[in-house]
Amino acid sequence: MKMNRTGVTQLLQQVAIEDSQIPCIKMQEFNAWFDKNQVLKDINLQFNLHQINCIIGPSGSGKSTLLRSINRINDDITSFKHQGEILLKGINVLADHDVTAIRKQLGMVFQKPCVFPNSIRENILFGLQFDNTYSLQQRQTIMEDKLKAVALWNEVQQRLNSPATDLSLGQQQRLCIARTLAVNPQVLLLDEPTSSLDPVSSRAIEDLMLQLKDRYTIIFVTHNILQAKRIADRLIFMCDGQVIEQGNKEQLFNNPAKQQTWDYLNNEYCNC
Amino acid sequence: MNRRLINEVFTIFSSLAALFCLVVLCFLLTVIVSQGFPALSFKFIVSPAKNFGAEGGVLYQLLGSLLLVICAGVISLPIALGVAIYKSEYLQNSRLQLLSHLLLYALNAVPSVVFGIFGLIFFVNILHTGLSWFVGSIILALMILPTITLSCYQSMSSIPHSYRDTAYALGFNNWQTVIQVVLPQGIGGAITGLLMGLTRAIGETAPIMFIATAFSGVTIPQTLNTPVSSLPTHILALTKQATQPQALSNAWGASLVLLTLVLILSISALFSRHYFKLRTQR
Ligand SMILES: Nc1ncnc2c1ncn2[C@@H]1O[C@H](COP(=O)(O)OP(=O)(O)O)[C@@H](O)[C@H]1O
Ligand SMILES: [Mg+2]
Repeated sequence: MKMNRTGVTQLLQQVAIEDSQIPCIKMQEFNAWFDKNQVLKDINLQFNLHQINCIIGPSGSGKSTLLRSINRINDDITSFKHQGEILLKGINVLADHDVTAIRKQLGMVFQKPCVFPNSIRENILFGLQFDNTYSLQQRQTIMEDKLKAVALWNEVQQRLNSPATDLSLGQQQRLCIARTLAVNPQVLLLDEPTSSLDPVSSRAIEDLMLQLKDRYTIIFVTHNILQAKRIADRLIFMCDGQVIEQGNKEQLFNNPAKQQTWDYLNNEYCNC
Repeated sequence: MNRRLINEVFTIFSSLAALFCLVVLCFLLTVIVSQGFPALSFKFIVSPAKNFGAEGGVLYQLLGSLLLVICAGVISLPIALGVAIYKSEYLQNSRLQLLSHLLLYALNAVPSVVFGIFGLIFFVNILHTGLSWFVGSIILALMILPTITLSCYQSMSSIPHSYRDTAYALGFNNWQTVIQVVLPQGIGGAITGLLMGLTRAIGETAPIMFIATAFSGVTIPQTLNTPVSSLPTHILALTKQATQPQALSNAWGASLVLLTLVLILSISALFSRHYFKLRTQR
């Protein structure tokens, strides 16, 4: 189905799904390659609306590639090829849409905090620079709202014009999350967002996720099993480019269908 | 031979080489300063040359040189930015990338007299421009293009990939990413390259002597295709009439003025590189 290239944002806003049992994102028979190297194999999975969907698995198992396929950031890599469908509320994001509109719906936060060498204010509003629908007053409100949403407002409200690079790594990562929220996405894709942070900052991000999940669908990649145990609603275990098992957290931890899942969750051992 | 010995031999060798360069540089500076200083005065800088340069100062030579290189920079900078952006953001094919790199290095290695001959044949003989300062600027712009482009490209290609990913993930398209991420980071390299290019351009004689400069009777140009006079060509002309002691003394004075300009430009290039490196490392 070929869509009107401009209509995708309106289309996505029309689709209202309130029941959290209905998947927000569904991947169907998805395969991906870098040149001839297949890194994602026959992926069928779903991410639930307004839940924390944790993807776990050893490094190199294709978690980042999967995440980056959803918002099509890998499209810019010439050796990257894919096949299959990724449905966001029933709409195939891989179809011929305006890819920038798709990406605005799918906010992404990376492993290492990536702030630009500008002020805190400029960093928060970075994604709105080419959007002239907001007045100065509205931008101010957005900045304040998002900084409060990531629990950074009290710490930085006195120094919004100082360089964002002066913040601690944990604060920088929260700033990155706020910057993503400012674009007003429906889904948050987070690729091991705490792996370069200290334990206290990691816990702050975890708490933040628990607060944000009422308003956003969260897809959270981690290789930290304990972290997944603390925050996940839904758990997806990946290994060697395949989804081994997916389901509710309790089910996977207490009663997994596969021996491999049990081995990984209990002994962090994987032989696939 | 053991490693320590090799290490020491190399340390001594490179220290000697550095010392040698320093001595030569100091010798040159001393000669030019000591010979040029007596001729130099405020009046020398602000008064026009008289009697074929044997009397008077270097006002129009100084202004001509500045006009030539500033205009060359204005022409070259946007082109260099364009090439660097194309190379770092759009040119995916690695063979073409290598080829474009080789071409830029080749262009950089072309002797400056060849640029002059090219200007003479293409502009003066084929396009019949006559002696024109603007053609001189174009030729100088061409000559410094690779310096600016490579310096700019280097700083653009060292932008962390996460910056681009972040911009794309926020829904920026290619151009928005270039404007908000690539240009702000690349502009430092461009400015450093520009200053290095101008340092080279301002001292050049060969590219402009056939096409853009005249020796005497020249003031501030009123049109694009009139000649100017410049410091390096002026020095060349003065030393040719070395029998006149006053002319020679003025040549030293003009050399000192030129050397000062070169030093100012190259020191600014150094500071610019340092400043922008610090800014991007934060
Ligand atoms: N840009 C790329 N080019 C080629 N191969 C890649 C690229 N990115 C990832 N890969 C390969 O894809 C596989 C999965 O990597 P990745 O998705 O980063 O795994 P994870 O995030 O689970 O550690 C790895 O084998 C990796 O080498
Ligand atoms: Mg990864």
